[in-house]
Amino acid sequence: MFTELTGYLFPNDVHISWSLMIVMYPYITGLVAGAFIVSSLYHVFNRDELKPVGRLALATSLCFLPAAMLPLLNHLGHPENALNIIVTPNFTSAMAGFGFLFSAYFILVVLEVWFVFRADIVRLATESRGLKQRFYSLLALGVYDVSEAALAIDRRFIRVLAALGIPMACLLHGYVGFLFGALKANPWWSTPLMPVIFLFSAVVSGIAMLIVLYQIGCRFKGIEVDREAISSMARWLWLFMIMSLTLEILEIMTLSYERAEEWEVIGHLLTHQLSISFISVQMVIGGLIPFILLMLVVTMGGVMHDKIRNTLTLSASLLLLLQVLSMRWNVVIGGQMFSKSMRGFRETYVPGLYEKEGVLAAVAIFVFPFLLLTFFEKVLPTLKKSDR
Amino acid sequence: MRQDSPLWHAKHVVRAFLLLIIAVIALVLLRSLLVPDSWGQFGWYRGDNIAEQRAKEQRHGGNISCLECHDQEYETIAGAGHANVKCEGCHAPVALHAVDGEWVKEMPVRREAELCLNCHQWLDARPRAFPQVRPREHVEEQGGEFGPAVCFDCHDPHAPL
Repeated sequence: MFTELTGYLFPNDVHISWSLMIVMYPYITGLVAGAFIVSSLYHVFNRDELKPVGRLALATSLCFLPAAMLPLLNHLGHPENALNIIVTPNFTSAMAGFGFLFSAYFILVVLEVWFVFRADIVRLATESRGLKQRFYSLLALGVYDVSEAALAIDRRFIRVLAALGIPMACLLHGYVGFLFGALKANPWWSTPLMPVIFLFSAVVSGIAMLIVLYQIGCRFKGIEVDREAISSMARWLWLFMIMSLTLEILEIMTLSYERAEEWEVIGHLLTHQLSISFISVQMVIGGLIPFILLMLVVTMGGVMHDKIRNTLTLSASLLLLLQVLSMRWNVVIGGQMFSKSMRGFRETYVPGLYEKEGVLAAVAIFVFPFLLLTFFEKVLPTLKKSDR
Repeated sequence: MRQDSPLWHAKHVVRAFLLLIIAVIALVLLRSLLVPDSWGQFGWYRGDNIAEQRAKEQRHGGNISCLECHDQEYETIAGAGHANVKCEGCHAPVALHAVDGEWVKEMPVRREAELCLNCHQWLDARPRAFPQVRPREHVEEQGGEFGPAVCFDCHDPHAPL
């Protein structure tokens, strides 16, 4: 019901309008971009140790893509109008820009997935019968050529698409950060660091999600977790989490040291209204603890038992997924908690369980890409026994 | 095409990109169907929208539309603290209740404290002379208990104190 308001609030400035859905939007988009960057590490930068997760990374990126827009559509009163930003684009609109980037990236990921899985599609088309055979034949576009020459062409295209995909994935998620960073009326958002922070945290969440999916997938399929793949992902995750956390802390340090007028309200926000989600979750549970866990894996991984390494990496990944989610929450909800007067705090926001934009809706949207991924895995298996 | 030509092995690539080109052409054609004819007539919107909005039936009538049947309430409001508040602001558009002087259905009466607090909740930014309260404190001072419709226990919204 009604909540008490504190401080000097403008009368037309007391509500939090961007809900949990607007938290989920950058979170899911970040997972897309992060997963794609892992697949590019293998396809472009020849990190062969990541081969066991290369295909899973690409499939994850593809399956999370359609889910990225769902929170926004659910937030809108008339989601059917969202199509207008593509049909009649206004090139001065920041959101229209995201629509174009998203569409171009979608085409690129679909093409890359097709090239990567084409040999498997052809094999399944030749091995299956009836409807299944027709389905795979349609996916293969009726061409069954898997000669070395044809596969060499595929590899060339994969490399080019993966290389093009890196700047596009960076732009896609950097752009989400830009959507917030460009809102000059809000000092908690308006910083040129915002796109960079979003990008690095996206890579962190993407790698963390892949580690979780890979370990769960291996368990389900009875495949042994590849030691080198996990160690390499743990190293990359550690590196990106250090950069991400450093940037997040540097932003706060700059604001704090400058002691400009906005620090009065932001400092209070971080230590009071957001004390649990920022200090406890984003910095300690989701930041410091996984940093220590991953440091153990990276520095002592060579002498560690596989099970311990996998468990530590999995735990750190789960905590980092929580850290990135809390970071999105602190940016999106935290940024709306104070009035433009900079001298008062708006109502607190607690999403309801059954609301249109509540917790259940967020869970349903988040589960959707996992269902897509399960379907994808059934149609085109991504996880295979390591040949190492 | 000869079998030893490199293009022979790129048949799948040709098909994939052909499919992509067809999809792009289909989208462009679909777009031309989806863009309304009057788009851009006056600006970055559908020109027909202006006529459509104008053709919509008026739902609000202002306080004067209540006078014919509710003259007593009309006089009370006009002489009290809510003289500048519109009847429809707290009730509903008049068209839901009566059309052309004919009764349609009961006018909703909203009694939530939240409705009153939209204007009267204490905010430092509001002028001091404007009546505003810290709701829980205010109700407790009067010996009451804060509830969803508590304001109406003491205040008459037509002639507020």
